[in-house]
Amino acid sequence: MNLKAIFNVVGILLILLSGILLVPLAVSLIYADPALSGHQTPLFAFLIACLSSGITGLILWRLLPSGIEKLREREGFVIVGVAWIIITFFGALPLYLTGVCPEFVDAYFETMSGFTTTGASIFTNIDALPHGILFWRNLMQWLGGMGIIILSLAIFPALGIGSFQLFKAEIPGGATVERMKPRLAETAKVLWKTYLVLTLAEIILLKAGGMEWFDAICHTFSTMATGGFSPHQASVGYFNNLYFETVIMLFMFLGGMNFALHYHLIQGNLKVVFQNPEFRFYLSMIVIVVAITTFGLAHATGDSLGHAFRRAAFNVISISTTTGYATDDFNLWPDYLRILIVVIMMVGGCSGSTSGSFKAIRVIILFKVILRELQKLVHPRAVVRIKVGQKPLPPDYVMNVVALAGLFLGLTGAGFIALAAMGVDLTTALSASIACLFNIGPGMGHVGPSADYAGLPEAGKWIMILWMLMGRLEIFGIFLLFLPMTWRK
Amino acid sequence: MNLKEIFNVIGHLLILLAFILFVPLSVSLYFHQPASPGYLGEYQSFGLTALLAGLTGFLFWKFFPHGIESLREREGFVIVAFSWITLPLFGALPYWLTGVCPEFTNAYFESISGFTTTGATVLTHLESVPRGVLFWRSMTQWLGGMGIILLYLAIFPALGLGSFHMFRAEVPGGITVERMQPQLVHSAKVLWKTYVVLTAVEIILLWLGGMTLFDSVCHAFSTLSTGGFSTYNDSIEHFQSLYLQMVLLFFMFLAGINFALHFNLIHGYFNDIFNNPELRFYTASVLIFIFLTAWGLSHAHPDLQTGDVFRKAAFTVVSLHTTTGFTVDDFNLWPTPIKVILLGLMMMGACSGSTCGSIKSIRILILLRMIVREIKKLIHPQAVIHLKIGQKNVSPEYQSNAVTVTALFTAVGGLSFLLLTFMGLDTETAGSATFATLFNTGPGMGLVGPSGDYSVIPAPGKWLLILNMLMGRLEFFSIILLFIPLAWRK
Repeated sequence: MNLKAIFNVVGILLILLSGILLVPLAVSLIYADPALSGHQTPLFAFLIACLSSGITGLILWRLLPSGIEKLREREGFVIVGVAWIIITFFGALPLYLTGVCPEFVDAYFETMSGFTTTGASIFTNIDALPHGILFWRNLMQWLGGMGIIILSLAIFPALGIGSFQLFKAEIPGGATVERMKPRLAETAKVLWKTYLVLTLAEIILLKAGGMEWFDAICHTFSTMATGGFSPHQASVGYFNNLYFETVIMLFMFLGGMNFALHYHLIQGNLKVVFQNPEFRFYLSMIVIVVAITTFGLAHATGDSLGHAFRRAAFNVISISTTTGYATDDFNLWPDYLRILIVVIMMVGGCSGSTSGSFKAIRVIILFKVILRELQKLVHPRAVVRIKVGQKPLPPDYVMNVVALAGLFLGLTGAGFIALAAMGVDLTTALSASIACLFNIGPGMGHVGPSADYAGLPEAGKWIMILWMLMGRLEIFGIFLLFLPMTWRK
Repeated sequence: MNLKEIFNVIGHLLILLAFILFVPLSVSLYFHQPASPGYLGEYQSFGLTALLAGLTGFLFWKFFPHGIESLREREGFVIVAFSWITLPLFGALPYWLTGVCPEFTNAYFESISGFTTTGATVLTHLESVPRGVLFWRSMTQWLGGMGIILLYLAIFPALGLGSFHMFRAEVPGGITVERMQPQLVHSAKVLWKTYVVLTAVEIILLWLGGMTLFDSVCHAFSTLSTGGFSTYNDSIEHFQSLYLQMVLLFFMFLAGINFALHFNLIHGYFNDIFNNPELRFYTASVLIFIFLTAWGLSHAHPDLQTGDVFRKAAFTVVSLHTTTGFTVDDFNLWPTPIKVILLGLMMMGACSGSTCGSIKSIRILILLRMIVREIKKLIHPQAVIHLKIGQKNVSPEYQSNAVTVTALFTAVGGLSFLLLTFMGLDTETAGSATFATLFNTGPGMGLVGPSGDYSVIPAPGKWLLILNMLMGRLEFFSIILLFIPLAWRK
């Protein structure tokens, strides 16, 4: 294992992070956030975080100069895993130093939830938080959504982080994602540009509808990242405004799409978009579930269909893209709708999007595996290749999807049992495990949309932190960190 | 699809069933209990059922005379599916005619639960059910455990070569089960012989421990088939004898082992047994979960004695791991984390080629190895890594079978859970009822826990659970094929 390469990359990323930290610093300067008694002011806290991460970064980068052109696959995974753990540490400093999270575990939980775009929060009264902190929470989601390593690839191609291994290990969907451009740095640039354009568009649309700048920017950050942090305790329900909900819904949907498709969309290549099998699956799943939920809600509460549709569409899209905004407490919906919600949590959006979870393409592949087995029963001698769209998939790749499915299910079960053993009730334990591993955010029971994760025991929080990280980096990378085999020369 | 062949085979099986029905008929003649008012007496019911089954079978057999030498794979599967739907239909008649289950849905549920060795019951008062019917309940489990088609193959080897596909479609574990003998008929014979010998031994051991002969036969039937029907409402808790509970526990454990291994045991090939990776996995998992459960139980109930805790933990873990469903304690009242673990146990099941239901250890082993291989591949991307269980390479065919069956269990389970909650059941009952029927265990949690029964489920829910039990026992493919147009094309 090339330790030098790891620390070199981490160094570069920390320098980038310290630069980024100037943004929330400026925000807290503008709003002149007051300090909590006995703690630092947000301004000072951001300054400390900024300096410490910058200095550490410089030291690592200067002291361990190492070419990382020739990274092996496992090193790519390890670098990304280690980088995410360390960056989250520095990202958590402002939350800890300002005293909004008196316990470090809470600060780390909130930061991890931010960077992994989960959106699970331990805050019980979000509206009372200083503006700088609120802004930083949402900025983290925005950075984590497209990936901070991919950002550095886009900004500093010259730094030589131009490794496909790193790209593959960080982008949601892993090896399923196509490279749009022959050169990696260009692909990263296209991705981040598209991301940026969509972000700007959403900010303007929200502002045009009358939202304040601060709220518009914060919500846009966590919409595009399919993160789900809101600067208000009542989430998007706070505004109770149909226009805002529609805009956010549209952009959540876009955030759950493969960003390569946006690129085609911008170029007017509509045909490519609608023939994409993953997109079709994603779209039809959302349409079907929204329809079922609309009728279910109308039936259960006696609401008009229009009103039920509004609630159903927003919350289903929010869950399906793994965002986690809420305009309604789906914890109070009829049981079968709650189960349906959990099912779509486990499917998620498209590969190459900012959404978490298992991803639509992998679900399609699993379906095809089952279908192939049935075809084989009817025609035992037929050679059936698994195809998605027109492309046949290599068998290796299919096995990888299967193994990942097994890991997702196994870890869900393990997290469930671990939390239940700590005395958390069944519904809460299961849904917390799913909501963290699949990067959704709110679960059911005591971690439902109207509640938060503050009530979990400390050990449970650490497990959920690990779960969020594994979910975001699609498990294998983090597993590698714990294997002695990885660290051998 | 060759429909004639299907009816021909079902005809054969129905005639066999008619003869088998004479056993509970004689039992009911022996006990001679009065009929409930407005319904047929016991032996009349069994007689009528035998007559109907025999007659229908005879007609099928006469009108569709057809050799089944040339059965194709899919036809094997479809035949198995059809016979598993038809035979329980006739098997349900005694419950219905005697008035034990006045609703036909309930009678069919009970019958399917018997044949699939699930052990989920809709009867609230077992003590008042006439003896012959109780005997028939346990006997359906015994027949379904090893498989009635397999029994037919063992008795009438004339069915021929094409029957291999039926064997594969019916034996629990499907293609992962090896053939012990080059000739299939021989395999079927060996399996049934071993089964009969073990049953006889258990009957004697239970009888020696002070159980009545009737109870020991019934319990031996449902132990070896990992079915779980008891003749008492409080199941094994009724017998406050450590000896009896230990005998039952031991035989449940045996029934969860591949019957090919029992054959080896009888022939003294101990090496094969101890080196069998699936058996080692199963044994290790049983031991680990017994300790885990015992630890959790003693933690929650510090007043219980250690011996008592271990007895309850061991019995429950083995009973659920083998998907039997006998109970010595209401595990519905145990601490939640243990209940979650118990649900996990139901999912895993015991060995392939045993009489148990569920995913089976070998498939879990294959899945675990697949995950390990993926991780190894990350470290050595160029390496070609064969998937091995023990010394043998696992072919891609087996791998995709393991994946598909597990995925189907998950997907069908999720769907059934969703539909049951849609019918208004609470999540705990709906979830555990799905688990308990799909994995052929029997008692679930909540309303369908060890102290409850399935009569509270609405009728459409019962039909859904019937489908679950069938799909679980036949491992999906047979039943799903029935619904695929592709399978019916010439």
